[in-house]
Amino acid sequence: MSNSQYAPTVTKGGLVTHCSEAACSIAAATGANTAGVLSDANGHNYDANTQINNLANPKNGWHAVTPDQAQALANQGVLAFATQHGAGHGHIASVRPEGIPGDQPRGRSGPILANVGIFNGVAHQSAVFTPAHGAIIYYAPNQ
Amino acid sequence: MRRISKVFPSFILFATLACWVLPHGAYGESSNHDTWKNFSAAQKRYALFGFIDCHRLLFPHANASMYNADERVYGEVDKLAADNGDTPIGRLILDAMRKTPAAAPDNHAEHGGVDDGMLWRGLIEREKEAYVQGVFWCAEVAPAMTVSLSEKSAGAAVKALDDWYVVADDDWKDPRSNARVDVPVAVAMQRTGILSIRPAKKP
Repeated sequence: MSNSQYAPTVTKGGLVTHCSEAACSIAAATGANTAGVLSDANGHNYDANTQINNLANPKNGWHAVTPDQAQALANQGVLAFATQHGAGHGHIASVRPEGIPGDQPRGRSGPILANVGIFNGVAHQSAVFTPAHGAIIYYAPNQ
Repeated sequence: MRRISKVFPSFILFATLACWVLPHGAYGESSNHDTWKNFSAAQKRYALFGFIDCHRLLFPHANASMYNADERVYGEVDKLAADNGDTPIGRLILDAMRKTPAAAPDNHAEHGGVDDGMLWRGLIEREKEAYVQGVFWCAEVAPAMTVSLSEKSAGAAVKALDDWYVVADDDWKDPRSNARVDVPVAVAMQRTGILSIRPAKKP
């Protein structure tokens, strides 16, 4: 999230963002095996829509949870993702524990997310996703 | 601006200085290099995003590949500003984008999207003001357009946009929230009357 390599940019007129890279690297940093779900076998991240499809596949060891459950899991140190499969590239963000000193989340409602995208920062769901763009689904790993 | 003038030869006949209603305060001074210098990296980013969005609106047939915004561009603007103290920041931004080669393709990133209501909801106040300032800087260097800004300051424009996007509706219950979320910020600035663009009158 604070990695400047993940800052949004414009290149040749097109917006470039890094949510799927960030999701992959955060998962890897927590010790999760990303291969086949968030990345290929070489650790190269899939695009967000592919990651979301993989998270939704029960065979991959993840399951859907409610927003409250996702927040509770994150508070316990368990990796969880907020996702929205999109007609464009979709969006994915990791859920962030509540109460981290210094955090001033943008928005006011929904779980707290470590957003990497058009802006990078700590934000509630309401500042990251709109219901107008489709279902917002949270995933957590099977225990 | 020669390149743009070639793209719009009809406007050359009507070219005149942009009519510019200067907003007050630090954000509105037309060549305020200090404002740029004092911006954080994130503010510079969103100032460039605003500049680009405004420029696309003013010059829809311009070559999109000229638009770049990353740390190298901010750095180039910094350098140009140091050597060209009297040149409007908007002109320096255009020069910096042209001088900076486009970044190599990033196959691991997401490509696409627009600066719309979701961006607006996600930005914090100072980033929003920087975005608006980028629009102001762009409007300032549009040679064949009459660009007027009804708001007196970037802060007032931010407030008007917050109201229009219904940012306070954090639970997305107001039907206007979803109806407007996909509207680009630069277009919202037109719809709110903050930004008015029309071909300049013949001198």
